[in-house]
Amino acid sequence: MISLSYDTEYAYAVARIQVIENKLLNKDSLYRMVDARTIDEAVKMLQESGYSFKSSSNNDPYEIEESLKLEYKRLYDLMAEIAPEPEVFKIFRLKNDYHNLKVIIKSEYKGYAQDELLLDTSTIPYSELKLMVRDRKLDDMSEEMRNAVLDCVETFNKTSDPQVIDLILDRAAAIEAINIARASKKRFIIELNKIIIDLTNISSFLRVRLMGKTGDFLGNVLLPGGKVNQDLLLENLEKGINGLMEVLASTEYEKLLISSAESYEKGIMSTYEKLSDNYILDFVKKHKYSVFDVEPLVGYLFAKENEIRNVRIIMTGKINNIPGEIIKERLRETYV
Amino acid sequence: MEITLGHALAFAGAALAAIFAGLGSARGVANAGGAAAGVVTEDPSKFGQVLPLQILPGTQGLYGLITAFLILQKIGMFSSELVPLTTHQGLLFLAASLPIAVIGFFSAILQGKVAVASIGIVAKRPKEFSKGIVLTAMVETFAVFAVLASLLMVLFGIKL
Amino acid sequence: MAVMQINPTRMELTRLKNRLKTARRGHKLLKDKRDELMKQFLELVKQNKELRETVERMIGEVHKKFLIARAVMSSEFLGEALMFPKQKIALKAEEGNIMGVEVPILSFTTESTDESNVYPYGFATTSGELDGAISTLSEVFPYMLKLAQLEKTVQLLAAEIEKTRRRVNALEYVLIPQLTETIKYISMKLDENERGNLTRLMKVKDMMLEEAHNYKARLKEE
Repeated sequence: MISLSYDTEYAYAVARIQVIENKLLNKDSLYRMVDARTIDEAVKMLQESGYSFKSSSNNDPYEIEESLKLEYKRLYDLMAEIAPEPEVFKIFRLKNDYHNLKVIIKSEYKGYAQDELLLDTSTIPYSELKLMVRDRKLDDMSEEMRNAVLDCVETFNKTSDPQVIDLILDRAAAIEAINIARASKKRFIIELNKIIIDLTNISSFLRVRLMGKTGDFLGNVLLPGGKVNQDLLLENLEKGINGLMEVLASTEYEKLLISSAESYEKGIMSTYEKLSDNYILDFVKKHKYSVFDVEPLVGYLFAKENEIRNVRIIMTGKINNIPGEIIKERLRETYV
Repeated sequence: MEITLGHALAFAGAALAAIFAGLGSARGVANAGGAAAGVVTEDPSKFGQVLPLQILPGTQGLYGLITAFLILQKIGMFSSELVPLTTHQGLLFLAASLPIAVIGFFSAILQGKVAVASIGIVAKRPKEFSKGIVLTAMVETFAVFAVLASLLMVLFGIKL
Repeated sequence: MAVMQINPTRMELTRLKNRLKTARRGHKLLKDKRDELMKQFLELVKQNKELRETVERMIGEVHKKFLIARAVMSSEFLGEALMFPKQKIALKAEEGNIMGVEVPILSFTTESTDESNVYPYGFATTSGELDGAISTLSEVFPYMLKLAQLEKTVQLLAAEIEKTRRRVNALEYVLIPQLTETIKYISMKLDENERGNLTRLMKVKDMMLEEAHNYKARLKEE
């Protein structure tokens, strides 16, 4: 009768998140930042909502990037601290592991390390990962990751093509994410993961089409495990976005495609990317009211990542004097 | 005097009422407590607002205790000698304890969930905190009905 | 104009006259060369200006696109995407000749002929905004190379024109006047000598006649 569930821990974590959520920047604040007359003014607004900067008046892009990096790290630390089932959150940190892996393997072939590109929000600390790859001691990796690394080494030696490293690792990351989602037995996580894979695949389809590449190439790029059948995408590559709209006419992605079709025809991906980010955020937003499960935590994670992205867009725009309109065009929806 | 099966059943009834209502309350209060702690971690000034919400799911435990107490009193545990009971009478006591045991258990857990959600209201909109209390208290109604049913049965239903 | 330090002899005069002739011819040739170089130079400068404007516009475009890609991607992901280039190119530098000026001719060949092979990254963690930046950058590359070639050519031509102009001027304003002057000086000197000689001869003749015919004595006798 009494299941040993994580109810109490979730109640705690969710309540904490609900308080923290209040600090998220809403659309108004973001717009006010865009319209801020000086960069200092925008920085001050960020500081008020909890971002930390080494010095208050700074137009140095690296400074802002540092601050965002710190915020990102804090977010993941918070999740690790309060999430009752940290293994579920592994699914969201996984991309950082695979990112580190890409950097490490590419560094090896390039002959010099670029450690500043490594992320410390991964599940395996990058220093360990480096040693594993250097000494080819891959036993502590997941099976997917190990096979992917071996595959990378083998293929790169044959083709010397750095792109395959990314493609192999992206695919492995997707498969591992699916496995974690399945193991969590949480419908929300499984569904969310599928949506992310679908949206990535559609984006790849659109980008490959713009590049004028063939279906064979797209076949290497597409990730497994989404709801949209890969063959549908492959068959309709020649027909572009119109073909895709037809095929996906009855699915949940139809609206997203219709809204981004016009700008895509002009070769612009930004609308699709913005709308697909919004789509994911909408999905997690819809589920944020459950109180004894992982949804609100995931919701916050995505909301905060989304906010960091928005802040980066705004600050990069402000530092480089990009017109407010172009900045606003690219701002994602907000969670609160 | 001799202890009959009737006594055993009546004791079992009292125990059921206390155990399940208490268990439900414990979970309800624990969950609400978790949420309350979450809010207080981030904003200690909200302690006063979340406390009543945490306590609300605890009432079922109290109702269970009262029911158990009345059953025990009725069979004379607090007087010098136990009232002699037949097996049937014992079964009646057991039946009388069921409403608060079952309803108390579930309503406490459910009320705990509402309390957690209402603590969410406190987290987001501290001014609307009284509404959270009202929402949470609604669940109380059914626990009150259950304890009323149990008490009526114990006090007036069973003639010794 | 200074006169050269030479012996005013007839031989020297002949030598100088020859030099003057060569100098005049050289001057004319150099002047022609300068004019032709100038013509070519102006043509190239015009081309250069147009090309530079195109390249600058395109680079501006690239910059803008990169900025936006930079805005929507975190620096680590962007850095990873671009850390290892996929397309390799071989640059070939040859020498061409414009009016005797050695100019560079740059050309390149890509390792893979597929133009869409410039994207070195995967798709899952990168933004489509980066694609645009990369493709514009790869479009601008041939122009940049052309511009490099043209600008260097223009520079070399300019240096050559400057050199030729200096030579023309040196001939026109220094050597030729100097030679003319010296020739004039020598001829004058020679003429002077000639006249001196003539006078001296006439004097000697007079003296010899005097001695032979005793004109003076005869004049006295009469």
